[in-house]
Amino acid sequence: MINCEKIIDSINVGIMTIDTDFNIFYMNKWFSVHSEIVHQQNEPLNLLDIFALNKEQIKTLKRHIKAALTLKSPSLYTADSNHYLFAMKHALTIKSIFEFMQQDVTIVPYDIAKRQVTLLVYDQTTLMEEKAKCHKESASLAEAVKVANETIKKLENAQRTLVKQKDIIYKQAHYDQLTSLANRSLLHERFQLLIQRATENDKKFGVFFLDLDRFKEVNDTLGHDIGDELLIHVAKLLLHATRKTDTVARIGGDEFIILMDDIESDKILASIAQKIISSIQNPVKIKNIDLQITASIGISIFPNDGISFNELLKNADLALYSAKTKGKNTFCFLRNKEK
Amino acid sequence: MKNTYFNPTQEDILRELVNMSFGLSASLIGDMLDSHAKLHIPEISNIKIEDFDDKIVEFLGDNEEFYLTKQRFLGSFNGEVLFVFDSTSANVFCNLLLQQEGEIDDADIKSSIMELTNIITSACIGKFCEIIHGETIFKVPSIEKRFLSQINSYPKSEGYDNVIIIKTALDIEQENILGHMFILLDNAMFKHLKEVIDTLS
Repeated sequence: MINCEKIIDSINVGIMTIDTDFNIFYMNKWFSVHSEIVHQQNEPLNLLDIFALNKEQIKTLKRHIKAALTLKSPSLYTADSNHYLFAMKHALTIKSIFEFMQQDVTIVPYDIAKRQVTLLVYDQTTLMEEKAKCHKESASLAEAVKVANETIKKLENAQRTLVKQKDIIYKQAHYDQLTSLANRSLLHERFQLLIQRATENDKKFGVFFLDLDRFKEVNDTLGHDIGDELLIHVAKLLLHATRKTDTVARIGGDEFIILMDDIESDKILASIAQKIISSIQNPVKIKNIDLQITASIGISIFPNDGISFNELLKNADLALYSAKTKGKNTFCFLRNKEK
Repeated sequence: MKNTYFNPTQEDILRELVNMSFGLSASLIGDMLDSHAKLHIPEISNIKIEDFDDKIVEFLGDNEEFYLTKQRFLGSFNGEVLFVFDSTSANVFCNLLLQQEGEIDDADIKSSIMELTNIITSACIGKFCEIIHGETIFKVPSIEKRFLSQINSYPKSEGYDNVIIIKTALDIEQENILGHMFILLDNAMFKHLKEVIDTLS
């Protein structure tokens, strides 16, 4: 025969048998050790004589006892959500965050007829201590991640602002504010690229120097607002009449430069120039004023009429002068002018 | 695939069994709350374990926060019981149980839900054990608050193939508390349960 009482008295689980009025019928040595109460088995003792349970704890324990007896099945009271049922000092020899032993309590039906249950009390203080530590660490980690995410967000915003500002600065430096066409600086850059590419591939490209006829009169008689609107209108027409690969620039006042890339013959340049002149001379309504304006274009060709920016621009300007002297609203090639 | 799900007869028998255990649970819950509690006739279905998270998402709808309890049971009837309550239902139940005037906190809610699920689990799994003439030992349950948006990051239950879903709708006073009970079983246990149910038809 094994000595069950000896085993029960030596295990690290509190065992106590009580009835629904909390009268104690049995408790093992574990309880005596932890509650510092010495119980003679024949001496009547009530749970409330040993432990000061509050009203809520009494209610809860009664509910658990009733559930266990009715369902003939264990009812469980966990340290995780309740911490402890019996206020007992824990056995830890290190500083603990808990004042009392953290307990899982299983309420097992013992004698249903006599309305008795057995309470099994497990000391979970160490486990709960570890859990609390893990919780604290994961909370700190979560906080650190939160701070890091916020910093990343700030950096991303700063980067986005920087990109935007860079874009604004680039636009201000390379584009005409009024018409959004390329300005002289960007025109120069594109010119250099075009010269390099055309030289390498033995190709030709055309340079249009366009000037609006009698634009000064529009400005003087109708005001600069109308003049500006007219310039915007012309810029749109020029973009519409050219390819995306061509460069349309405004270099000041009513002067526009167009770089026509990869041109196979003068005929094509002439037809584009005529198309531009025709579209500009169409009547237009600006701020309820009917306007009709014309333009003149001078054309120089790389490499025949020059191989540098200044040379090609100067020669296109000379051709423009010819077109103006021919009565305006027309275009002129440099070599025709020389002829 | 043919044997993966309950047939209508098996579902009817299972519903009847669970309903009997619900009757017992309802009277205990009523006692807990000093009020009349009614557990609706359960709706029962079953799914494969792979579809478990999707089902939770479907049940919770727009509720982001929810409470999940877990409890292993071991023995000749072997598996795990999980309960899911959205935070609104959990709050309502806690208020009814504690009848506190002040604010209830997360620990109050967790301990209230644990008491509720303990009763339903004991009654229900006890009934299952009874019909299969099996025995089981309940491990200590756990509860945690979870967030629907993070559902993919939580660890998954392993070692199971099937999930029996039991809708638990509880009427107390003017309140309706809705939760879902999930019984996770492996293929062998699920097959055994179905065979026992077939003998009851």
